[in-house]
Amino acid sequence: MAGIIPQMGWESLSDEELIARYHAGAKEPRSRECANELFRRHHVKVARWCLAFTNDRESAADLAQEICAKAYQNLSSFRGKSKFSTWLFSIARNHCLNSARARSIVPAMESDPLVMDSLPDLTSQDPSAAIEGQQLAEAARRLVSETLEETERVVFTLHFAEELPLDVIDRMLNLTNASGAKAYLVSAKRKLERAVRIWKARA
Amino acid sequence: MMEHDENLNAWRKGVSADEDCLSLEMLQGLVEGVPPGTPAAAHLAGCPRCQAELAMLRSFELPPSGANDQAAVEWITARLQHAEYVPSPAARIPWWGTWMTIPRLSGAVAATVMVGLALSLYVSNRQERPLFTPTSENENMRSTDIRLTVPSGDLDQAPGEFRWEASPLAKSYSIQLLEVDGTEYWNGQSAKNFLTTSRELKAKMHPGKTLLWKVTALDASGKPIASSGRGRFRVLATN
Repeated sequence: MAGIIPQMGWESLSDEELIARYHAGAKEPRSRECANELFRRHHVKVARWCLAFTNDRESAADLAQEICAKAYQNLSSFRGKSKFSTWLFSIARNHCLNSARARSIVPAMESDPLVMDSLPDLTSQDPSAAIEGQQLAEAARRLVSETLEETERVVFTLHFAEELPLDVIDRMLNLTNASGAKAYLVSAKRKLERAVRIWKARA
Repeated sequence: MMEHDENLNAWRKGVSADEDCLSLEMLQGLVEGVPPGTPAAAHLAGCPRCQAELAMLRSFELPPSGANDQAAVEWITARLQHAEYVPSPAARIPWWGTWMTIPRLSGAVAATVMVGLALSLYVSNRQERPLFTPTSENENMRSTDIRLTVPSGDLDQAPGEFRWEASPLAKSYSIQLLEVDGTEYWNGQSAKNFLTTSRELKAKMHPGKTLLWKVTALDASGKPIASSGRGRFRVLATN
């Protein structure tokens, strides 16, 4: 029997329409074909993302397959609060970060002494002037926001908060300058040292 | 050394997510263009973490750059097209499945199977043999093989540990923390049937946020042999 939607017609359907049809016929062969079409459209994004993480097509293909499998398994719970590609991004992002940490693909941040050992010191030697950890974090956030340019802020945050190695940041952000993310980090560190000196003098 | 750690933690925490950070849906709105002056745009302007998240989201939407990347991405997508994570309809219908589309025949088959089952049960009981004999460890994985113990429900504070009933053949366990939409939030491993919650993990359990958790038992080679259903808990918001 002919399907309700001819296969060629799927190309004209939006992601949202494909998802609606998937939900409407959950577990039926036609709905699986809707899911196939949906994922096919976004394979390139997942592939590129994974390649940025691994810089090796074999490992990237394995990661990409795990991400698509995970997304497919959870597709029935996707209710369209965001775009499909945003939802897929959240899965890809978490999976790559977790896999990298679990498999120790990402080297410990302490392994980059250039950056780690020389972060400007926010703490005070004077106990009477010491401030709590939360206040230090707030000061750090304000200094980063107010002192750094956009790319410096992003590179700094991806490296320190997300623990991404510099070469991954280079590929993820398509940084084409000579030293890539490292140059932004060094520049950020220099600006923050100056800002911390001023901040401490005012405190 | 402590001062070094304190300093490092302050910088890390300063650029990490906090409870005011924007959701991915809101960041998606910003990608599509939200007028300046909105609360979301104001938060973004002062939050390095949301700016980095937005940069990652934009990066996800970018096409591959450079011939090498292009070729590698094409190779990976070709592999994905042939991957079996979405089961193909033809592959999922066994040869006998087509018989079941014929109403009378499917009724007859069902009746025959029922009679056969009843007979085999009768014979099995008579001979006092076990009804079910496992043929291999890996063939017996069920989603409810492992019963989760704690945490569960609403909690006054982040749980000190995750605990579940041990699976006899397990050599280790994989523990997943999931968002309510099933997206993985964190994962870890334990050699025993519990996992002590680290400070970093506790920091991820934001007050008011419902989380799911799941355990998979692994054999010596790392293959899954049993898994739990999903547990649910929430650390209550502090006033």
